[in-house]
Amino acid sequence: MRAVGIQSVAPERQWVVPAGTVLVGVVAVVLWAMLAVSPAGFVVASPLRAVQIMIAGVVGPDPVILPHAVSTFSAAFIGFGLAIAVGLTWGIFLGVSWYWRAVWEPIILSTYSIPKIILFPIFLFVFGIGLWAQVSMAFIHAVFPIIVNVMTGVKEVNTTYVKVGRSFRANPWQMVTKVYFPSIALSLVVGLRMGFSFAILGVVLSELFASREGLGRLIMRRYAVLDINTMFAAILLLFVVAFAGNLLFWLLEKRLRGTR
Amino acid sequence: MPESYPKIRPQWVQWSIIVGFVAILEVLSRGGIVKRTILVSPSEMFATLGGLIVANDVTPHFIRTMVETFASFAMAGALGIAIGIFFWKFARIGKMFEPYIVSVYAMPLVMFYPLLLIFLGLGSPPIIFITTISSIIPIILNTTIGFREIREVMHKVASSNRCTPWQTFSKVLFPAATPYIFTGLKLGFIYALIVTIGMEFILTDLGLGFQVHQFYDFFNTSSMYAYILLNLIIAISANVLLFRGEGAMRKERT
Amino acid sequence: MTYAMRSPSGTVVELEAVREITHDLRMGEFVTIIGPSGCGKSTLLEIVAGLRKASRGDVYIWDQRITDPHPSIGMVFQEESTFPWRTVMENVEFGLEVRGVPKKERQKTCQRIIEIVGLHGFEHSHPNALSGGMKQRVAIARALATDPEILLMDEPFGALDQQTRLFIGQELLRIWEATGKTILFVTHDINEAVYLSDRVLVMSHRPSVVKAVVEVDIPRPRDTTTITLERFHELTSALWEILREESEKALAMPRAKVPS
Repeated sequence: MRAVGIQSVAPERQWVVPAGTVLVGVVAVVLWAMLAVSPAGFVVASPLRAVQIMIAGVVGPDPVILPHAVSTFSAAFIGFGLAIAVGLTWGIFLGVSWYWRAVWEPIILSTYSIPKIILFPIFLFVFGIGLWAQVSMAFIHAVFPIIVNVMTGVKEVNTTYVKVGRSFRANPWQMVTKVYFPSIALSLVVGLRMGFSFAILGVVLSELFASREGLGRLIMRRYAVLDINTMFAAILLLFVVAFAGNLLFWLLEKRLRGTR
Repeated sequence: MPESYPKIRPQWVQWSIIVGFVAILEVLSRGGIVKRTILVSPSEMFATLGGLIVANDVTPHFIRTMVETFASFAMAGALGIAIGIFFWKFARIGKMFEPYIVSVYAMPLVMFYPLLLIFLGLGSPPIIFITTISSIIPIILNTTIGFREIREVMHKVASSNRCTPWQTFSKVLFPAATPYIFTGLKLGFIYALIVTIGMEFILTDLGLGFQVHQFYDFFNTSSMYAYILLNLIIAISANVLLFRGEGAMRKERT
Repeated sequence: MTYAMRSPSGTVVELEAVREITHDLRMGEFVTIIGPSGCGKSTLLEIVAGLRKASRGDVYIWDQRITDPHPSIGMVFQEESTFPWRTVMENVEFGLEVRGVPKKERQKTCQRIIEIVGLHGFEHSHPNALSGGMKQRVAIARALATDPEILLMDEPFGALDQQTRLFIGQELLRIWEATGKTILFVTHDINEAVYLSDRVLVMSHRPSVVKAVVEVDIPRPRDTTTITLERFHELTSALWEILREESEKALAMPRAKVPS
């Protein structure tokens, strides 16, 4: 009997959707530009201007935006890193143990839904205004999606795959790298994507409230003096980084989904 | 399933963790180990909150927050389901927008808040604007998925009964997609609540989140914690109710 | 060389699934175990495979007591067990990879096996692009790659339709003749049992013993015309009679709840 495989989608028309996506983006920018030259435009910086200031603010001779960008993204990065460490360990632990999952899952799901930013004053009391207050917000926002997604991924590992690994006498390390890890990869990436976005969210939120520097702070101060252009540039920078990061994770997610 | 069933039921451990945590806070604050300017005892938080509620101080803020939350959620719900269905029907177009929708989902939309303050002034409108956008995204995503996941056979049942397009949609497809839609609405509501309170906390003139900020500024830790507590209670209650509702719905269908 | 199974019995919840089996398996044979639902056939196979521990009794292979998966035993599972994140080639390589066989050597061996099972051309496909029958062939190839002396197969064609089962059964016979392995096969399908094996062990209902041993003397090579033979009909009828009595008793009994 000849083996027959399954064909994937006809390749000729595969460019349509990505082209459409790009088109949507272009249209959005055009609308933005139109808004900037319209009567309401005095409070809107044109796309060109915003990009100009953004780039100049980061790499130009007088990088006004750079120190704030560094502050925001380093706080997010550290918070995200800590969230991964804690989230992975807790997620795996709770995924493996039925008992402790029954204990902790309701607690975690309930706290997932609270507006964590209102806890920021407590962290301000503890750390004072500065990097660690921001890091704590990044951490507390990012850790939850990572725990929940890793926990679900580990919980749902297909026992048949585990049996296969054991039937080939794989040692514990091989089981982890060749069976468990690939099994949870998709859930992990979903959790990381949300964790990344929420880490940035947490930092920006806290900067808008109280901080010495950071893109959120910059936005607030420029708003106070109605320096629209710089405000737009800072928002644009945040948007670009958050969007790009999210997009990368999402593409990875799609690739993993394709083979599952 | 465990092979050995530990003697202590998980719920008891759970409650002892929660109670234990509160007890530790109580001891730390009452015992003077942590200063009053940093931590106030949970019992005092409840007492202060009780007093504020009774004195009707909470009411205008509560109303404001609820109005903002529900208004945003209502708009997000109606529009979100409609757009979700649109992106399902016109799947190609849906796929074109997908990367943007997914990315905006977790984006710090709050960064646009100062911008909107300029356009719309201080008050509810900018908050409702951003909250609606935050809330609408999970609703759109879940609605689209909900319709997409309907098994092929359902469409065939409708066809074989010669249903009109509207009948197919209202009697077969929409009911079939309802669990997913409900999940989307659940997430949408939670986001509406969180984002509203978060924005109020940053900058506004009235609201439950705003009160936390106020009392922080005035170094009134007792009232600040009272409002933090209130916000937590509301958020967790909403969450529990919604999860229960979802669970009940799924039970009914299987 | 002989292979003896002695008195394995018991499952996890103090339930006696299999009471007594004493059997000698000759090398190169194709032996099938059939029995009523719930009689413990799968449990028995997993105990032999070393994946489950018998609470009383032992399994010996070449005078070695089995407590863990034995390197000379390969197993094909009932459920879909191919790793979706690996290509066909990578799936087949799994066992050799776990044993540390270098890549070049692995691929040579696996390429040969892939051709034996008839999946030439699909080496770089992912399982989700393959049909059910093809996925099981991947699982068979994977088990064969480590060159086990004994192959255990737990209702491997259970999820396939009748016609596919016939054809893939024929393929299995071809592979068996080409490789000279000893196969212990579990199925509930009487036709399949007679078609494939040299000998059929009929298990009684739970707690089970070997109720009958039927020699299948239909000459080899067998093909799809075999099922039309008179002798085939005699044997299947005889087995059905033996099995019917046991099945009726089994259906009257409450179903065993065996935790996985």
